[in-house]
Amino acid sequence: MGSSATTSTAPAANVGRFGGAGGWGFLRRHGAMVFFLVLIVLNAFITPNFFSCGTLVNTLVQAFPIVLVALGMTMVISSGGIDISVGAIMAIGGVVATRLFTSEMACFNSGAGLALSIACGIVAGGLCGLFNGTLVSRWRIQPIVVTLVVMIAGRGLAQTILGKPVVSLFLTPFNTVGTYQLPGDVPVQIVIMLAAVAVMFFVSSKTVFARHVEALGDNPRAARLVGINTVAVTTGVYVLCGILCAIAGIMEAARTAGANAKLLGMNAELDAIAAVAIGGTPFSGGRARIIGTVTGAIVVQLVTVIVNMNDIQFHYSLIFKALIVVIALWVRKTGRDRE
Amino acid sequence: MKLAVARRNPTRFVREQGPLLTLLALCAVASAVLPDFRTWLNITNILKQVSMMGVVSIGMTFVILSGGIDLSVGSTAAMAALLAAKLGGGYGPATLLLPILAGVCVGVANGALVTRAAIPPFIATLSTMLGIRGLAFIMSKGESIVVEDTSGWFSQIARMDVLGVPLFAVIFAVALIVAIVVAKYTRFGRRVYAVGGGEEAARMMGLGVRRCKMAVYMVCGGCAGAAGVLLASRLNSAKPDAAGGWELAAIAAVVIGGTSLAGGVGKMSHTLYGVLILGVIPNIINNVTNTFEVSLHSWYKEMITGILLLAVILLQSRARRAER
Repeated sequence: MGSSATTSTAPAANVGRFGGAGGWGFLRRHGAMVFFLVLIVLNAFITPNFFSCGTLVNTLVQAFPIVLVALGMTMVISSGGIDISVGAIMAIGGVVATRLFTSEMACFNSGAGLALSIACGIVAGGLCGLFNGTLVSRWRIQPIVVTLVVMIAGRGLAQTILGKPVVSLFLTPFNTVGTYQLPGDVPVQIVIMLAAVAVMFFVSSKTVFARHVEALGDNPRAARLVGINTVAVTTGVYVLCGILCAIAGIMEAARTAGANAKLLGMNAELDAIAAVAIGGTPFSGGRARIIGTVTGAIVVQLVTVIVNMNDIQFHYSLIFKALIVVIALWVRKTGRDRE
Repeated sequence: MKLAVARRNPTRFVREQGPLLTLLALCAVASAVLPDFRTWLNITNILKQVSMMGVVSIGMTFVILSGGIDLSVGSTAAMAALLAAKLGGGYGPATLLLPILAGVCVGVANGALVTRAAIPPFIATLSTMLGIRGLAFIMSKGESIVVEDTSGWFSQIARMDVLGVPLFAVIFAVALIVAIVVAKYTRFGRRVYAVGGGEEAARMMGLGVRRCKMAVYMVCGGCAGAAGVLLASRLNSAKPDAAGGWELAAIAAVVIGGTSLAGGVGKMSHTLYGVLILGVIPNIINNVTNTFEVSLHSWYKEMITGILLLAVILLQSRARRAER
């Protein structure tokens, strides 16, 4: 418990100018930020018009689902679990909201109906999380198995709920939610993203809940013995992750003006796990690094931007992402060994 | 002996033989209701379908028994299939060996990331999964590669029968028997169990933990490569996006077979039941569609697979708890 606090105030004796054993310690702590800056500089040189406001804003808007999902994933991983069903939950959230909004029922057709259907979508995501959490905590089944089941069955469920391959939302009020811009041309995604990051940062650094999550990730048995309600904490983490995924899924459906149960949130788990890995949250649990995750998510999106805007084949982005994840983890291990 | 266990301790019997019971129940109901299901043609079809997945699952079982996991098998199989289709039987045995060797190389990369760079297996193999998939696209320039000589021996692998049984199924059966013997009776096999059961203890006993893990990933990569060769032979072509989701299917097969993802506990032979269960479900759904002329969308397959997976897992966890 409190491991995040101890690292930030490491004993001054063995902390060099950059913290830790020379450059390695610095890289280990701030690897995500280094990647971020490297990619920004790289983009500045090779990507035309990268620094135009539109490009930057677009990058952030496209990074929105990765950021939200990765935030939830960070909490799950810091509790010692993993959630590979996030993509399927995104699909379920987006599809439930779409289906209700486009249904015949009168209560979903008005302006308030839009809010109601979005709320239902978020609740659906929360329920998926509740299912994951209950099986992991109460039934003691390994997280990867539980979420594998939800990943496989959830994708099928989403397609069943939607009933057709694709439902268009083009030029509906639902669509405007995704393309809405606040005064000053600020897309609504950026506001939601900032709010989510702020809330999660507050939760992870100031609340008892986060302390319990980290304690649970560090040593589940010890956490139970000191009286932490591990069942409730674990369930809470997965529910939180499910809700964030559902919001991401709904906003993606709204932004792209259509729900496609098969493609919505496809491979989101890979991007989110990559973001968490780059961000420095250890996969053994016990520590959540929210800002690192956000940086990691933007790094993942920046790779896509470089590849897209320079006419490089999409497939290279897969290799770049893989390399970045490996380098990030290798640097962290070397830093740990040197210290 | 097994019947004696059943009489004395029914919950233990259900836990140990649950996968087999599930498979038998599925087949019994399907044969009773669907006349097309019990035809020899359909059975050979199922066997052909599952043998590629089965070969992958054999390698996956080794990895999971050692306490690891390998997400890169689908990408590896796709890459191997591209290589095999490119060579297309024109180079004799090299057509078979090169793709398998490429798979082993991916295994070496996985093993190095896990043992040397100390990256958790899930993340290490996730990276190779992405990387190799990218490589497969670059190798083929994003297009499918067609086997040029479709009447050659390479294409015949998928179409040949041995005494009425598809050659594919024979290959899978031989591989499975070898794997069962290796897991149960060889030094390597016992080491895999020891490493999965407790890495620290295995290290202290002087077992080469790193070498064992490296070997396990190499075997898994080789199996994935072999499955890729079979895939190319069956389709007479290979696509860079082929074999997507194989890693999940293989993991599901191993888990349904009762092998613990924590490592060290499980049986190679039970992976067979997992593989067959996963192969029978889509076949049953197809047969239901044809027999009763209802349109069941393909997505029901995913849902039913998921629900069945859940049922098996819950059953196992309950039985394990009742035993305590």
